[in-house]
Amino acid sequence: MTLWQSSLQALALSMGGMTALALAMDRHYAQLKPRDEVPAAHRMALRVLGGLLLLAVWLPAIRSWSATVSTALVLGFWSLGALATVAGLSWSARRFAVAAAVMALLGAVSCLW
Amino acid sequence: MAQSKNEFGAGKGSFRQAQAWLHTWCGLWFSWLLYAVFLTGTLAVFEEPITHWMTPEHHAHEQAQARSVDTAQEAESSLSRRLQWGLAYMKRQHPGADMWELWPADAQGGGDLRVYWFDANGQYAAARLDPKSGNAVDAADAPKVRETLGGHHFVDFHYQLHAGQVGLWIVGIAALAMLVALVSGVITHRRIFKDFFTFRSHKGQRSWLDMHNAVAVLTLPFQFMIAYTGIAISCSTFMPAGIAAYFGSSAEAVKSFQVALNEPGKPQRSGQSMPVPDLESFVLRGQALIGQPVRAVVIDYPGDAAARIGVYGWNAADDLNQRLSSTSGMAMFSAATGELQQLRLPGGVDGGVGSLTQSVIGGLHMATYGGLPLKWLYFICGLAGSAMMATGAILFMVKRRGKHQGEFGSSTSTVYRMIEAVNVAAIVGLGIACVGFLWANRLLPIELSQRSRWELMVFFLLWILALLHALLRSPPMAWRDQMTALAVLCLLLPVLNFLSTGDHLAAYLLEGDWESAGVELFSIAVGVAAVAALFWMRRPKPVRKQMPREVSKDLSAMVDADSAKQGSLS
Repeated sequence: MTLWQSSLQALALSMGGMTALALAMDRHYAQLKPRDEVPAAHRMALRVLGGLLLLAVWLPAIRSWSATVSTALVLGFWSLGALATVAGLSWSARRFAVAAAVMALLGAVSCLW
Repeated sequence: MAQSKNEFGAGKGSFRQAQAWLHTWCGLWFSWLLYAVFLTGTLAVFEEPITHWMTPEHHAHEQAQARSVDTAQEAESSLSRRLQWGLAYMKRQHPGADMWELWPADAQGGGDLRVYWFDANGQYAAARLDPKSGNAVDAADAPKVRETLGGHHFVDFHYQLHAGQVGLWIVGIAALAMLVALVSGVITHRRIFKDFFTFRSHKGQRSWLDMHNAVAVLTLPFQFMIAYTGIAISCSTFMPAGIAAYFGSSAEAVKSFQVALNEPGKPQRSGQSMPVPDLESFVLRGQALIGQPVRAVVIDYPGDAAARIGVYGWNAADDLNQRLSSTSGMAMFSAATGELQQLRLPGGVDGGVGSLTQSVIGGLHMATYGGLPLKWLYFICGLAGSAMMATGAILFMVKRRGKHQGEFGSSTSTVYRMIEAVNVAAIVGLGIACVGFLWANRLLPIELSQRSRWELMVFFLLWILALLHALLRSPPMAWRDQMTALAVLCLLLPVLNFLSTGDHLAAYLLEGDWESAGVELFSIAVGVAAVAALFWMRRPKPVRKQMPREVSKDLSAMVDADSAKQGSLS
């Protein structure tokens, strides 16, 4: 596993996690579905999913770097994923949400492989 | 943020309003300097690729070296010969020097053979020996190489502004101001969680604020870390009291502190002469002890009976994926008895937890660990930090579009006009100066004496010109002109390189020279971004919704009217 592959996995997981957290908020949920509020069950599910995906960023990081070094890297990947999420939701929420979901899935599957 | 005119002032209003005041003014006055420090510091992440691009005469040599790695086996057997050649050269040429330093080979046992010593003036001096014959490579035989600071210009500028200790203090104070602005900014940002992922485009002032918040909040861990470690690296300069109490504050005292810190247990000269023993046995023992191939052999007081021999190792690239402290291994022996005096394992330090912390802080700031992906993370977060300063400075003026807040009394509009001009010169002008520095590298004649100084001069001259231009032109025109200049310089950089050296981007990509290709690709990316910014500035503007750039227009119209009255600024 090269550093670049691990970086891509980490970025995909981070983007997926950040997007899930964003969609758990009324403002961004409304960008996908014309509703005022996120249904409570969806909100909870999205938050848990987002949290898990963000925690999962550690997996590829620890695999390619050590625990100490990956602490710094994970923070960096979270930042990058969040920046991408902000840009993506502003560009086209629907398309970005699909892309982030696909990336998160690919990232998760390739990590567990 | 700053409230209405009546509530304006440091101690007015609620705690949050006071923090907003602090954030606005601390941010504004330091944003230009911090932007310059951040942008050059971000470029400094890729110091080596930039230096590589700026020294095209070395490319052939480096390629030959990369090819010779394959023949390392043949070279490996000659480590002892390389050591002998280095030692013989030093004995012959520099018998009286206080210190000899041999760099026998690269981590694979091949590559260059270099020697260093302290000359009569106490300066570090170097020579390259031919690894096939051991003879000194005459500098006159080597192809004429352009003298340049290379990427180190950005490193030096971002922490010393090329002004030595004075610059270090200025940057240190600015970094402290940045920490103040970060904390006060977080307190001021009422909707930090609600607006976490929010960016509303085409909304004028709101868009600028969203962008300022997004780049700052989302990369906050990095911004805190980089500012804090930046200050902490130079703590012995910024907090000299402890050192002064133990060592005194004279230049001599500072030197003895440095010796105690960096060379603990360094013996005194004994006065008895003793030839330097054969180095190979020391090197082999040292390599076994630290578990790394030898990088350097340092001999203190060569020719004296008190001489000691230090063997330093090469860090493998993989090592630095595993640890934050970037030190390599070191074994120090007495030359007379062969006794091991000191041992430092890779990643360790001499001098306990404090030194280790310092080493980790240095590594964190300078991105010495984690490999290329980490450098890219630093680069992107650094660009986000630069964008934070730039959007903050622009936002200050956008908020004051067409309406005075009267902060500077009767000269408010004049000061606004100056701030707008400095914004242009600081944000776009610095970009022009940076890419102009690369242009100077290709355009200045290679034979020019003090060539690297001229390159630096071009950098500062372009920056000053940008400021003068921004003061003379109306703000919207200044933004446009300078953005155009930036786009042209960045987009034509690969063309200039082709015309001046014959190298070009496609060849770099084919040869796998990612360092040179990276510099030119990034330059093109900045050029494209500048063109996009130009189109955005020229877009038709809706009548009712005020767009950010309109502020410049409104303001310039207002300033023009105002200055016509006052006759102070044209």
